[in-house]
Amino acid sequence: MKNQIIKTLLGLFVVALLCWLPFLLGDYYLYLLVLTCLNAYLASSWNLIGGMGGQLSLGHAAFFGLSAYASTFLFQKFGISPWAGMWFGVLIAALYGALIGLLCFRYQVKGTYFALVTLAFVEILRIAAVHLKTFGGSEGIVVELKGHSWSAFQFETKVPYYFISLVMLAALVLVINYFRNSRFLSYLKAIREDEDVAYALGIDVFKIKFWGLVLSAALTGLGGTFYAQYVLYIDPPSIFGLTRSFDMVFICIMGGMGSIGGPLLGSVVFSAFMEIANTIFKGGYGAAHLILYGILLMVVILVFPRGLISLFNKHTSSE
Amino acid sequence: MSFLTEFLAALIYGILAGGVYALIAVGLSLYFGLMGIVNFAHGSIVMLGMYAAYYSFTLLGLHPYLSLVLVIPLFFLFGMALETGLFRFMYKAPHNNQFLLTCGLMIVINNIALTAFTANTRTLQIPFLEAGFSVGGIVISYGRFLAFLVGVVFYLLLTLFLRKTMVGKAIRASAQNREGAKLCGINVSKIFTYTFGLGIMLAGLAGLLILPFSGAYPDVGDTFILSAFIIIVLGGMGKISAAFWASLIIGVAEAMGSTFLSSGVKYLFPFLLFIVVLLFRPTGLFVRRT
Repeated sequence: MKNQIIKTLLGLFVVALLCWLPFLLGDYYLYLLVLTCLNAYLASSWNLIGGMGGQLSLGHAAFFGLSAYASTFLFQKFGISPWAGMWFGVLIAALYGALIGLLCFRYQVKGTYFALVTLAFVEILRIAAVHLKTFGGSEGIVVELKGHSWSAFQFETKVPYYFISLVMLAALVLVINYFRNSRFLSYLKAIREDEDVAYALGIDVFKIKFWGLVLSAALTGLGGTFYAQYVLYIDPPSIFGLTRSFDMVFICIMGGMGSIGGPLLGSVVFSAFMEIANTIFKGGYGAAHLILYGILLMVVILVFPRGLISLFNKHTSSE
Repeated sequence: MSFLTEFLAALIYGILAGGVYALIAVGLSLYFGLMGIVNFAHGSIVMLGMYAAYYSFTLLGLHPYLSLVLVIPLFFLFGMALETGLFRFMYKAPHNNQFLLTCGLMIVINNIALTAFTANTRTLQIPFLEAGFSVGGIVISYGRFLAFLVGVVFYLLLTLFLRKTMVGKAIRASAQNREGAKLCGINVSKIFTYTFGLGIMLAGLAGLLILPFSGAYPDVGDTFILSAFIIIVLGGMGKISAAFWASLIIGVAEAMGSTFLSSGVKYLFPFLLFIVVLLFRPTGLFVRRT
């Protein structure tokens, strides 16, 4: 009983803090905070199939990008509000995920092979985006400013963006947490541990992996539209580049693959690390912060293969 | 140009390019077969090889082909150092973690190159290598031709090495059965070090051969690594002769694609090929299905 009260109070405190935060911080830090939320959201989406399902996808930039391009295209050409275009983007991302899932899982493409195929599926989109002039070609698309309004998904300050990204993240994390012992997620984890055993136990491996990927793709797509509306500029390298997929995976593995809190922790560490490294090496050191980032990543993988979250909680690190 | 000449030209260019791809893919496949590690940073080593050749030309005045004497031992040592200093610690890790670790290594190497050499594209102009000879109306540059020759020679040397020498036999034995090789008194951990050194050496060599006809920049390895993955998957992971023939196939397929397909599709072509191969022949073209 006492524990319950303390937990509730703590929860309320965190919510209050998160709501108060944007008014405390300057514009720049708020900008970072939104990206941190978005990264945590994307990593959580990746975590569904990549961490919990153990299918190492390096192709999530495809879902992110398809949705970003789709909603932006509809917005620019037909004036359709991103709030509606977002769902169209999610649909396209889910369909592309279904295509990949259908082909790969039907033909038993697993492990590193799966990672390589998904990589190829993104490269195809990147090359297509570079060559299709309708979608901006290699110059990309600058999202037109259509006045600050909710319907245009454009706001004067960054505060609304912050709350949108926070709600997206919180909703996703709470839903995953609520269903953490559900049949679907348990099946996914069983497949990660040993696919043959899962199959022998009567789990429809194809179906579970397929829907896991589609769900993860759809969720990633939602993040893609948000990114396009937030940064207001999309081009092939920033959307479909290797780093886009890698970031989701790396944030997840740094925090802890397969755990619910892992992506959150990973995203905070990622943002904080990049910010600190950027400040230290400001100017004159080239890409020193990225070298350090790579080193940090390797160290975490070698020393904490279950992610940094295993430091805090030894039991739930990778349920 | 008639269709036939165009076709022949694409075939020849494709084979020439394939000979260089072979060096990259064979090295990758060699240590994959032994250690089971898919190394994402392999393309970055090719990039380092290109810079090594570039700087030994601009700073030391060495002709790119003479810098062989520097690049080969240097990259062999570098490979051995990477194995003992880093890769050795991840053999027991899950495959996904191994793969991601090499991705991290790629980020480190690429950004070191970006910091040290800047993002400018470096090209080397050697008049002799840019000149060419004509065969039935098809002009072949000496640079590409020599690169192909050196690539094939090194591939043959490697095959001989693996077949005839004790160390080579030990490498093959360890790849077949690690425990069995250990029981026969083979120092498997040393074999790993040598093999990785060999693979890295071949990648560095490939970079050196590519430099005369392609610019060097920090991210140039990305294209090579993707091609190399396509090749070793097409050939079947871990078989070096298969990787060699698959390199020629991919070289020709890319050349044919860029000759006969419109500009947009030609870049897509290798990836589409890759996906089709992976889906329908995941064990590779040259490996019997078990």
